[in-house]
Amino acid sequence: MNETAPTGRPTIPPEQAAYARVLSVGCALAAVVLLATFAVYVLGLRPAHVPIHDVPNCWSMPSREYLQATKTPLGWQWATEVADSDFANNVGICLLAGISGLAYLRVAPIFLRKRQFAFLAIVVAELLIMLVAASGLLVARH
Amino acid sequence: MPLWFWPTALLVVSFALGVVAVLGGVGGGVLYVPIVGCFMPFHLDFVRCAGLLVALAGSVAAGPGLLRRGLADLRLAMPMALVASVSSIAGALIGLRLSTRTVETAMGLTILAIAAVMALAGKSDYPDVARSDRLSRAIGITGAYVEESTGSVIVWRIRRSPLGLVLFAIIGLMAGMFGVGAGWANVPVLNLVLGTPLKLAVATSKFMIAVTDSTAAWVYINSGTSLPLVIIPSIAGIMLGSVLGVRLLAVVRPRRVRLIVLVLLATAGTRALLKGLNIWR
Repeated sequence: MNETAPTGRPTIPPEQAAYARVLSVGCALAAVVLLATFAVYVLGLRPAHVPIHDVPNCWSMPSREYLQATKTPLGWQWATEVADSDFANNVGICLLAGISGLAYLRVAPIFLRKRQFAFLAIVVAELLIMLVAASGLLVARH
Repeated sequence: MPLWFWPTALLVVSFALGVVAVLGGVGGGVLYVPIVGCFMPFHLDFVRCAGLLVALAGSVAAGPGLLRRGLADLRLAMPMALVASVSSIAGALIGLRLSTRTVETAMGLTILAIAAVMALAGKSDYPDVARSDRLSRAIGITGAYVEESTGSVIVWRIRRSPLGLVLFAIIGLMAGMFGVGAGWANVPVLNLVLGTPLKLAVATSKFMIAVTDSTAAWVYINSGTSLPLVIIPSIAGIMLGSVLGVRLLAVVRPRRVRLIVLVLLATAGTRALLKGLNIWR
């Protein structure tokens, strides 16, 4: 049940407010990183793994052909080449995909403190699933 | 064709879809993937990855406001999102292994089915849930929010949560397979099956997409399908379009926009189906 203020109006539970804060900060950070790395990429300020003018020759290919043609690595191997401006865009993209995980991490201690173990178990399970998904273990190898 | 033609076209189309999606009450992904995937030169693998990230970005941007106003409920979303995020991984892995034609055919049929569901499904502002089910009582899924238009406090509870979990597993699978987000299905399940008030269903659906789509998005990203030239203009376009859409919301007739959404879905679904069946490549 939502906490109810003395006036009778329901107030937002602390875990929900904390979750919203993480989303808010994460979203702003991801937007800045996405725009900055994309600007570096399109302005050619850093070399790219796949030169930007070659991308239109590849974007109609199925991903397996694209990966072979461009020698693009799978999983997190791009991180070793993050200085390449096209791979640098993955930083913001991964941040965007990972914000919910950070928010779940933030609410776990709150559920623990409130001894709401069913929700704590859901948080832990969701974090494990996100971790497995993000780990690169589950890759569609063509 | 100059390098920037298609990314610019993508920005413009995504902007328009962002406007229409807000006015039509749907997430961006369900319009984005079939339209961009079937009418632009980008391969569906890249478009599905971008579709998931477009839906995810919209959800992350809207989430804080919806959570702070109590319109989206974290504890309602969490169990449903857990099931959907597991199945969306499976959907992504299956979707990336299928041939392009199979995905196009299945997506065409799915989009046409979504259009039919949207046209036919009813909605209930305040469903009557006399008694919550045992599972939701055990976990403690219930709450209250202030209906801002009347100032009244709406207390809600849910029913049939086991059925809801099964349906969310199916929704997650389809979202991962086609990269279409899940708002089109989340809302009717939350509202009509679980019995949450419509406003809560819409807001919670929007918020939980960030969780359900994130796991599938990771599979697509790790499988090498993230193309910045497709993703960034799409996210920028749909976010800017959503801002304009929210402003237009007060002056545009929702029924007419909904009709436009249905026509767009039917056209894109038919095109995907014909492409998949090799009738119109």
